[in-house]
Amino acid sequence: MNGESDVYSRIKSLSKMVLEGSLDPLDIDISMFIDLLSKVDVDRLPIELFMEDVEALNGLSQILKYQKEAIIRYLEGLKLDELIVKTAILSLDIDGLSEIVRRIYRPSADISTIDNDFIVKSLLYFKNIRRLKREFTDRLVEIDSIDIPIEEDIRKHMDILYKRLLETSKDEWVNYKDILLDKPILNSYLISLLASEGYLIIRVDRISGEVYVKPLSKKVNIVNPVSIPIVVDIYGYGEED
Amino acid sequence: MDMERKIKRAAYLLLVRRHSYPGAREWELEKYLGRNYEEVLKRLGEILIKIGLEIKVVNIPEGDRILKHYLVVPERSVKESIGGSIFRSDEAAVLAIAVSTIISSENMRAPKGEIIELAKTKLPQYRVEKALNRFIRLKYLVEDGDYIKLGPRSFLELDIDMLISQFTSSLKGVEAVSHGGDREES
Repeated sequence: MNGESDVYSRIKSLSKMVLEGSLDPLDIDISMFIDLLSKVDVDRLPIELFMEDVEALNGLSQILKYQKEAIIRYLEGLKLDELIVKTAILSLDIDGLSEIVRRIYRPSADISTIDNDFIVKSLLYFKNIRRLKREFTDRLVEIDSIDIPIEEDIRKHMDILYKRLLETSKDEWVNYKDILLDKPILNSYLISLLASEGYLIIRVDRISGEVYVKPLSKKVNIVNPVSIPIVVDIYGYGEED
Repeated sequence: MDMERKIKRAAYLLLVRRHSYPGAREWELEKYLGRNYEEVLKRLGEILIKIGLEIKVVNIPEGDRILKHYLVVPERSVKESIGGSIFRSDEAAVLAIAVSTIISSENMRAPKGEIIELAKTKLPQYRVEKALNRFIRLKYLVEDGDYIKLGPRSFLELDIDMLISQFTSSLKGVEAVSHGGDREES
């Protein structure tokens, strides 16, 4: 009975010292006290000792709390030592070093969106690139011809191209390049939209590398459409400055 | 504005890319969610954790100020289970050398020549320089005269605290334990 009481007193005294700051919480072997307390048959304890048991447990939880805070403080103040770095770099091979980067790399999760406003801004941006103006004058004329608001006009352009394809293809495969004609950027964009919506199908000849397109007289529901996206990097950290 | 609407706003601010950087800065959250934005983020965090995402707070030094930046990242266990890396092994090795040399240097900047010399022990110089230039272009690193500092992407995408434990444990030969207490899968 005295043994238990001594343990309780010891724990309470230690927790008081930690609370007062006169003892480093990391100097206390908390697992030893947990072992001692877990061996006590609390159902048989008289009420006074039961109360002491509760107080001792509370003291232990306080010490644990201070231990956690002390560890966090220690880690926050930890600086990577220059010597450790150099030794580690020299001792690790390329795979070891790249494994460290793989472990510490945590990409951000975000959603990139594109809307009319953004497309307009992109067009204005591209139209004002001096080098583009100098080297691709003919393409700029084409970009100029894409009127805004794009979303409304694009449907009209899609209808025109689809009807033209239906008339000219006569249910045969048509070479993709022959469709692009005078407006390659706009037409390739429209083809990707028509394919995504199930108005035409695209086939790639693996040997020649040629791409063929066939309009469908009836729209089909495509489960996994493959489109030709026009990607604009809005991450801002892009490689192409 | 009720809490539900604020949570939706917070999700938009953190998940939908509106700037050159992912996530949102403290002043934006305060502007659109109010002063109790931390409570809103806590509630959003409870929703995101169910689909393996969590909110991360990063302190980015900008001049003499520290900007608090919030972004959504995959839970470490989820990311580990999928694996993969966006860098080639040799490039990643150069990044590891550069970042660790920088954070162990005074004022968090290291001479470019010193980084190249260290990396040259692993790779030919032209590959080291090529990789360094790529990371500078991608804003993982920033040139400051003859010195190199950490760029915004390093602060946002790399767990610098974990880098310290990884390097220390690589010497001790023991399994690393992350800053958050999660045991890393080896």
